[in-house]
Amino acid sequence: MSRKPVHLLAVSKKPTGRQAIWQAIRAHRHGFTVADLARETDIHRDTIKTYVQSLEKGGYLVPQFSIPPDWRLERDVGVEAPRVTRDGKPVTQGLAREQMWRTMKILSADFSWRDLAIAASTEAVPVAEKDAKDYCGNLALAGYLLIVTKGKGGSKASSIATRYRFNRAKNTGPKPPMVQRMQTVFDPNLGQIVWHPEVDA
Amino acid sequence: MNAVDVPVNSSIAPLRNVLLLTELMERVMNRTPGLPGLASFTGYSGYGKTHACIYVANRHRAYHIQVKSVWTRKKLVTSILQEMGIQSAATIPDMVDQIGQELSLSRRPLIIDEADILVSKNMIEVVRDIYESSQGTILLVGEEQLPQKLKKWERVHGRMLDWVQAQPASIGDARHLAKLYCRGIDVTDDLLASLHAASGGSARRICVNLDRVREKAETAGISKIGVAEFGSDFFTGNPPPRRS
Repeated sequence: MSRKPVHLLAVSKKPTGRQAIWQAIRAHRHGFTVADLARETDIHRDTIKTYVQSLEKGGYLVPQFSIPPDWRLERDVGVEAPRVTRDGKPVTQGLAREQMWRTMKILSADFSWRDLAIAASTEAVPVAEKDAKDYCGNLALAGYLLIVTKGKGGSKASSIATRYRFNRAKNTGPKPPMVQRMQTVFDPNLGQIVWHPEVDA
Repeated sequence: MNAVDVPVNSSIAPLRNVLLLTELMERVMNRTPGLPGLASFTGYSGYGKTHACIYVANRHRAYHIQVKSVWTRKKLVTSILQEMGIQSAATIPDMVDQIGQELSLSRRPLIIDEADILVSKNMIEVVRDIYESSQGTILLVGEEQLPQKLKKWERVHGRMLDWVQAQPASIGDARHLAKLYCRGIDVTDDLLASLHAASGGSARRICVNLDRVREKAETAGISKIGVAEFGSDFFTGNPPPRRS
């Protein structure tokens, strides 16, 4: 079964997916089985098993060798569910978006996509200019960014980049809004789609 | 100005103040157990403190908040919890516990910008409470005078590991910023030197002036620009002279 688009997972403000599994693990930190977590979260056992095994490889969980197998929480890193690969290594995908989101919230002055790419880049996770340009455009559509001066295209010498400012009223939380495949914008902090393209009649 | 599909191959990391803050943050995060975990980064406006904070926050996935002059204690703690993505408890003491627990578990630093306001509004003790319940890493960012102001608060003052002051932008900083903001344009050393002098150590003004240089070069369609081509139309931050 392929993965569902993220907004289908968020029917309520209740945490979903790995975040829900992590929350259940923290609630049963001294010992739990996959079945315990499945009962708590209503998530398929195989999905839970994959995440639990990934967390074990990453050193977050320790198996307790009983039957049925259970684990205990060894390394609690707080409310945010660790993002790990099947080998237990940290997931770096999505960090550029997180850095851009954090950066635009801190910047008090207005900025262009180029300014954002420069300010948000680190050596470990550089932000591509094209990614910054796309993300700014989408967040402006969804109302997270206000347009200070509209840019204009044209030749290299005459073109001007649009300048944006973060809309303080839209500081919904730490997680960066996601642009989905259908070009809709989903805010994981709210658990809802906040913008979708108009449908032509 | 077309977006290229390659990463910005240089970040702001080599700038003087970014290096200073990166080094400070690493020192506080990797301190010997038992040493205090509060630190401050202070300096005049325009020196690039905010950009240094952004870089360090991204590097360590820090929680960052900017205090406003109208904030109350409750607003301070709920804002931090919001940045952490945690539903606030009902009372301030419980919220301080929530923040403390999250800081000590996640081991991510907390950066508090405009910390001067906390001192002048007698809210700095809340930060001490958060520190005491987390033993985490907390960076206070503020104006030049912040270290002196903190002296009055013995219990906070005693928990500072280090005080670092932001430095004026160097000519090397100007050269690096020229690489970032005037990409593809060769800015000669003489122009860079007079631009740096006119900007008075402010990284913000250097960026404004580099933008003028880039605009001029692009309008004139030249790839190399010096004092001869640009002149001295710099933004110095001085108000216009009085008219007679």
